[in-house]
Amino acid sequence: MDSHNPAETTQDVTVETICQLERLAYLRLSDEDRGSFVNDLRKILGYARSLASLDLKDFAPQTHAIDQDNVMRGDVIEPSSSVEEALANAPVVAGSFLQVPRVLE
Amino acid sequence: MSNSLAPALAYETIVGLEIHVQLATKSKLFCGCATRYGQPPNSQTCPICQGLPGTLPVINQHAIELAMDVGLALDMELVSGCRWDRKHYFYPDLPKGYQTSQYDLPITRHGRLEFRDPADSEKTCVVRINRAHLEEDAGKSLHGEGIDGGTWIDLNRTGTPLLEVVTEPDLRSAQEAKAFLIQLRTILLYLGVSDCNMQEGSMRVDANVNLRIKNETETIATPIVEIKNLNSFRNAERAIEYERERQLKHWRETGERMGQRPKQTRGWDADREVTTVQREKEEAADYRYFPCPDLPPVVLSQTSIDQRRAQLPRLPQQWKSEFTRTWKLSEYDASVIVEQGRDVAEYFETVAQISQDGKRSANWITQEILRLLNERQQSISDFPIAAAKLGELVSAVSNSELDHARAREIFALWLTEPISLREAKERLGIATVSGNEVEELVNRIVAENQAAIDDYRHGKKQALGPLIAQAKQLNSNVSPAKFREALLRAIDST
Amino acid sequence: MAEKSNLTVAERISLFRSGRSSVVESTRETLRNITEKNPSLNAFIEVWSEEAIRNAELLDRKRTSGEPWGPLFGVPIAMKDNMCVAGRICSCASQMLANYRPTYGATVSERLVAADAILIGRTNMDEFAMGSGTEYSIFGKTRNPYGGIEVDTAPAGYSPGGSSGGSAVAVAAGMVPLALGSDTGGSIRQPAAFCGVFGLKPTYGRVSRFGLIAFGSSLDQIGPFANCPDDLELLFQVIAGHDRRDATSLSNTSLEHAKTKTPDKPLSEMRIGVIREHSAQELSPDVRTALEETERHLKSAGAMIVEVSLPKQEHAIATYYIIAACEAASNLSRYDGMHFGHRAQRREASESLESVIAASRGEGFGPEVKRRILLGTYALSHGYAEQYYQQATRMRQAIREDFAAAFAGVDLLLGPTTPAPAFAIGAHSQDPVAMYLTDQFTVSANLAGLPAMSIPIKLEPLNSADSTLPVAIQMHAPPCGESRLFAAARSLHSRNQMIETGAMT
Repeated sequence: MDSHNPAETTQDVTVETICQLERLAYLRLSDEDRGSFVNDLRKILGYARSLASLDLKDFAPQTHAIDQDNVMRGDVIEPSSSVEEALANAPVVAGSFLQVPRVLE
Repeated sequence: MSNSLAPALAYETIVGLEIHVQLATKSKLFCGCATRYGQPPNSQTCPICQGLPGTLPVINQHAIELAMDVGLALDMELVSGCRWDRKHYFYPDLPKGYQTSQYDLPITRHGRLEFRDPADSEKTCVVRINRAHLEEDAGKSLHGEGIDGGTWIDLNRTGTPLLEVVTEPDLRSAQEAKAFLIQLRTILLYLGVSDCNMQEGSMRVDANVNLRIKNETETIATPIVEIKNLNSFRNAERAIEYERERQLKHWRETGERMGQRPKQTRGWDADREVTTVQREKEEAADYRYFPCPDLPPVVLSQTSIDQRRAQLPRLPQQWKSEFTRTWKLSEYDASVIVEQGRDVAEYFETVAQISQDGKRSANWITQEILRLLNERQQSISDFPIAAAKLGELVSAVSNSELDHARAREIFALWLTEPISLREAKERLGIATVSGNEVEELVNRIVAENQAAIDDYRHGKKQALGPLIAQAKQLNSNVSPAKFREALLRAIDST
Repeated sequence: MAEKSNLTVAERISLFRSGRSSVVESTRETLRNITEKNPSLNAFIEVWSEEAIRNAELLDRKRTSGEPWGPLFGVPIAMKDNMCVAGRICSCASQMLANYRPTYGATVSERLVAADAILIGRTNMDEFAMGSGTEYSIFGKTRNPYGGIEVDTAPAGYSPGGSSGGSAVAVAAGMVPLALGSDTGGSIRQPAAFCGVFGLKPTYGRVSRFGLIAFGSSLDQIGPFANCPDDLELLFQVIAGHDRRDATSLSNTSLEHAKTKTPDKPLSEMRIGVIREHSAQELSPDVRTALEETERHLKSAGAMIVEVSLPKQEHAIATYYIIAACEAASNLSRYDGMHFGHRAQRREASESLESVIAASRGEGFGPEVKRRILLGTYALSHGYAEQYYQQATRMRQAIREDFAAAFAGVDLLLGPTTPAPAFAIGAHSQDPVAMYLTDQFTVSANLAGLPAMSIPIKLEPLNSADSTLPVAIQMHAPPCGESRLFAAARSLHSRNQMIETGAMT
């Protein structure tokens, strides 16, 4: 689109940024991935940065596509899954529990 | 050091509380699974509360109503158009990787709660409530259970509705914190919004504690410590008290101020009676709060608020003033009864209404029943003597149809026998004594005790006591009050 | 060149009624057809042959029992692999869910079964519906049945578009008459345009999202692909409707309310707005002439053509990519390998939980998914949420208001679906922004929750003599104005048929 230069990039994003995002998002990347994601994010954010500078105070943030409210259910108990069903897709099971690697408190 | 002077420090303890209250809905916050406690592991889940791909949450309307009740009871503002936000963090008992909660538009905010000052019962303390928001509970992790020390996950509790009540840091001691918690629980129980069972985790308390120390030139705040998961009021009180001492000592040793170290999370070790460090985070957690696109906002209309307000049960304060006004109870008696909870207050009210004798009804309850309930670890709803029956008994005593001693015999019998008052009297050989029988008794006693009567006439009031005892011996069913009345009439008329 | 079965859904059903075909015969024919064509196109990931035949047998029994027939009686339907069918693997074309077998079904699957349709299999897609080319898939790339292989320009053939490329190809190649896709920023309309079929993104909330594995929850909407407007509408009618399991699904009251504001109209009484900002973009000559032809046709059908402006369109792509990435990053937090899905092997017994989760996600997600998780995490993180996420949600409102203003004066909007016909496979794989820009005309409908349809207009010959590529246009309607889109599509469709049969030149 004319007002943007897709080649515009932002230098805010560094490998360090990517590492921080990896920690936040619990996502392990290879060194190679990191390098290419730095470039991608610079390009994408450079493109999206045009939004940041606009004065949009007159527009209320919109988080839904349609205006509907008070959609609720009655407090009615419905049948739960059987334990077998509940654990059907669990990677590791111990008896009736899901088992995960040790959590260090 | 022995030679160091430890000047008396002027300082205040600053406490703010966060209380998680499990709401008494039948089903979970976003799905139809039951919220029962103590079910077999992973037997109370469905694809929705397990957060399986493609599933969507739908709000339980009753959770909204219960949250509204709390808001109304604590003088809070109900937020029309409250929103749902996702709070992101990874933990295996949080299956979606985020907790659905309320961030900047909680359902209710800006309230207050008054309670009696534990240091001076004449005074009241006021704590401002910052907010109360709805959120879903996480599941349960059992650490170190698996072979190789793995963690076991039970998702039964996942998605149970919680109301998180957050106070301003307005509390000034461990004792105040405890008194506040008792008052809050009393209110929640009266509202019926939660069973507040702390053993089962229906009410969980986190306390933020620090000190404000004044020296000659400035006021210094010590770093805030959050004590997590206090599971009884006693533990809350002790943990805050411990933390006060620990922080004072730590400050004396290090002079460390707020901001000089990251916020610490500590846990209360009830066996060792100490708090221990759980976590110290260098960077503040970044939860990336974000409005949940799956849940439309909840808009509370004035009509729905008014309706809810009209249906609100009577609150402890209202019961108390009712008891002192209508039934002439002392402030103290009224408080004792009301603090027992709505069931006891209702029980008292029925007894008083039937007997029309508030004071005597209160005495029976505070002196007999509460003691028994405590001994038997029983709740009033399971108590064998129904309020209506006790009302009848109290009424009989008030009308001098029974004396207190005989009434207690009946009461004791009722604890094991579900029989009527009439049957109980028959069983115990308690017969109603007629007016003529009383007159005859009076005539006999007067005739046989002329000396004592003369003593009475000469002002020795206590001379009547042995006469009443004599009458009781002659006829155990006679009411001492009625006999005394008739006796005085006889003395006056001769 | 793809051979299409010429039968419409209504014609198929009438064969069953007249007894000229049984459902089993017809289903076997469909399965044969898929077996024959799928190896070169890779539209289907899995075909549920046995179950399909079993269901066909049940339907054949129903034919003789006198029970009422559902509206899709015996019609084979392909499902994009992000909609749950109870007991069937639903993978989102991701390693993360390669073996994920839900015990629950999507509302759309249940509605289809209740309508006597036959669910025939799951189709290829971009992983977690993120992509515009059906190339980010653990099952390999899907190929457009059009365009052929061109040694110099398209050595691997042409892209079917994405992310619902498998479904679009299944319909375009005549394997099935109907398929379902999902559209978060154009994932139905763009592949429909590239493959020359009709594709509808319904009004947000008209079709339940329950059981659709989420990408961007406030943008996602399930919709139909078909070879003609009648079939498209039939499938839409079956899947649309309120669902108490989806709180964002439109209530009957909301639907009624929207419909009174958007009444049905014959094409001859419609005012149709041409979106100035879209037609001002650099469009391929094919797309431009398709637009001009469409305008001429609509005018001849009695509609009035006016130009309208949507001034905030230039920001639509940035707004969309920020919001979609934020929602995706959040929605994809649940894939931690702890509760379901791919769990990485521990490298050593003492490896921490955090490390196993990060490894599981690192192994389970492909590059485009990772890219969006990183982008969304960044745009929601402390210090950046205000300038990226918050601003995007405000711009979203501005874009909604643009549309509302435009629809105050017109009944439908006309513009391109894509700037150009299908690109060669792999053409954009080095540049995410260039790839994202192929969605520039489709994302706004998702941001504003509006219904929009891609309508095939013609087949344009490629330079090399015997190949063609489809060219399409897009129309937007106001909320719940799908029937206006069907009306316009029918008119354009009959025109195109006349051209095909030589009745019009």
